[in-house]
Amino acid sequence: MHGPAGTESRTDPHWRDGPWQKAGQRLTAHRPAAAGLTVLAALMLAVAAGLVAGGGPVGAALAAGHQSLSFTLLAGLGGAALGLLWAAAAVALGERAERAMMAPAAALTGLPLALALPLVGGLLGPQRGLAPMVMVAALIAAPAVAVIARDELRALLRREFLSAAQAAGIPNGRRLRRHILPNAVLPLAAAAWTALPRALMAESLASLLGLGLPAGVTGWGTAIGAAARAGDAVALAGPALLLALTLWALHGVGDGMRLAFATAFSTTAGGRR
Amino acid sequence: MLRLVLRRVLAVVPALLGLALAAAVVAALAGPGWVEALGAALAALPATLALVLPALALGTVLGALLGVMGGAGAVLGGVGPAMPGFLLAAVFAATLAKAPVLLGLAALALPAAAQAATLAGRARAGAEDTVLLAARGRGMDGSALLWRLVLPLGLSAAMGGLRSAVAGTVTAAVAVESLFGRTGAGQLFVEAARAGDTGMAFAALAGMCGLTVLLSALGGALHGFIDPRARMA
Repeated sequence: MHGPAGTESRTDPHWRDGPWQKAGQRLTAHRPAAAGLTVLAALMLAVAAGLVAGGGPVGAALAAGHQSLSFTLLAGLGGAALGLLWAAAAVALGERAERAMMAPAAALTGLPLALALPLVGGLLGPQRGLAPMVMVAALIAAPAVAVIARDELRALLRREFLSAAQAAGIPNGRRLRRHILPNAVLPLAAAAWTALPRALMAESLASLLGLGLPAGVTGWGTAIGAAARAGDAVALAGPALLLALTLWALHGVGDGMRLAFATAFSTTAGGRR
Repeated sequence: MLRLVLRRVLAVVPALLGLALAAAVVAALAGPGWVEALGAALAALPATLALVLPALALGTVLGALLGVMGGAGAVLGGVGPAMPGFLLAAVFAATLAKAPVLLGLAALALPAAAQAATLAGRARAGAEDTVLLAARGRGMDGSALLWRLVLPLGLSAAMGGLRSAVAGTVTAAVAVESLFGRTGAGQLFVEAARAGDTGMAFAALAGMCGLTVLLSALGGALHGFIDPRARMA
């Protein structure tokens, strides 16, 4: 049995580990998430090594990965930021505003939004810049992040410890700083992560159709589309395998984050004074 | 059932009208041939529907069946995220371009089946300690348990995710039509986008969005028919 804080029970791992450590342990205990993290780390190293070494079909596939992953990172971060802002504004502005703001987000998640990227790519022409494509991909990813983040925030705001903090007369600013934000960070990170696979899928589809990355920039989708049209299975294998692995890893980590951080969320729900 | 379908379809009529209006406005702003653009997009939709609908039906039913049976279903659900429809279409187009109709169908059905298998597997796991334990306690076992309890549970769960499956399948249908040279709204969309024809591309995209909304509504009605709990959603 655990003794009170400040006694010898401090040496017990249960007391020694904080909520972040526990969340990390839960994430890595989820096998697909641990495998996904390993695969992602290996991919990053391989892409960096491919850029340095270059040459051959493997080097070309890894170099294409550099473009795809850079695009995904930029668009994913943009989509995550937009989605989180969308959800936070909806929740902060009250029930009516929340309904009005989240109804379009929920409706957009049921549409083939990824097709907006090839549409914009086609309309901007072959000399399209990277920045507008990144922005459109971020906009494509944002609604799903907003819906998940709103659900997470709503679930958090219903927690008993927040009602208790309110009943204890803790001011709004202090409640936000000391209770809501620390408990919202991890679930919101899990919601934000979903922007990454969405951005990669949208970019790969658009590039496969020849309407994604600008001319002269070769991503995995571009290489896959060219190989598929030429019927060249050998040229297709590298980028297709790397894209499949990356998507699997991103989904695995995302699932793991949702599971791990939801549990972390419930166990760290006591808040901090 | 008919009332449920009507209710669901009527609920999405404003969205469909909004999409048609948006397509008409964009096509009219883009050039004089906006009526032709809308007509061409509408005429191409049945071909896309003929590709998407069987793939969704086959994928959902087979995926749910495999998902509740475990084994292959768990594997299918596990690798599902790694095989989006457009990637499968590209792989099939590059390696096995002998039977484009079947391969196109497979490229669209497999991701839907993977999602259905995941959802059905979770539903079965969730029911093991409750409904299924009670049924086994009452002497139900084997095929009766599978067909009368487990499969309807799995199918209902799989149909709960139909909305995202429809959107994913329609998106992948664009790649299938483009890579296999099939006519349809997806092919029209890609050709118009490549040519920089704003009106036609937007009309085709709006048509596919409308198709997605309509199929999701019909899927919702079918879900409500199978599972009364979904009727209130």
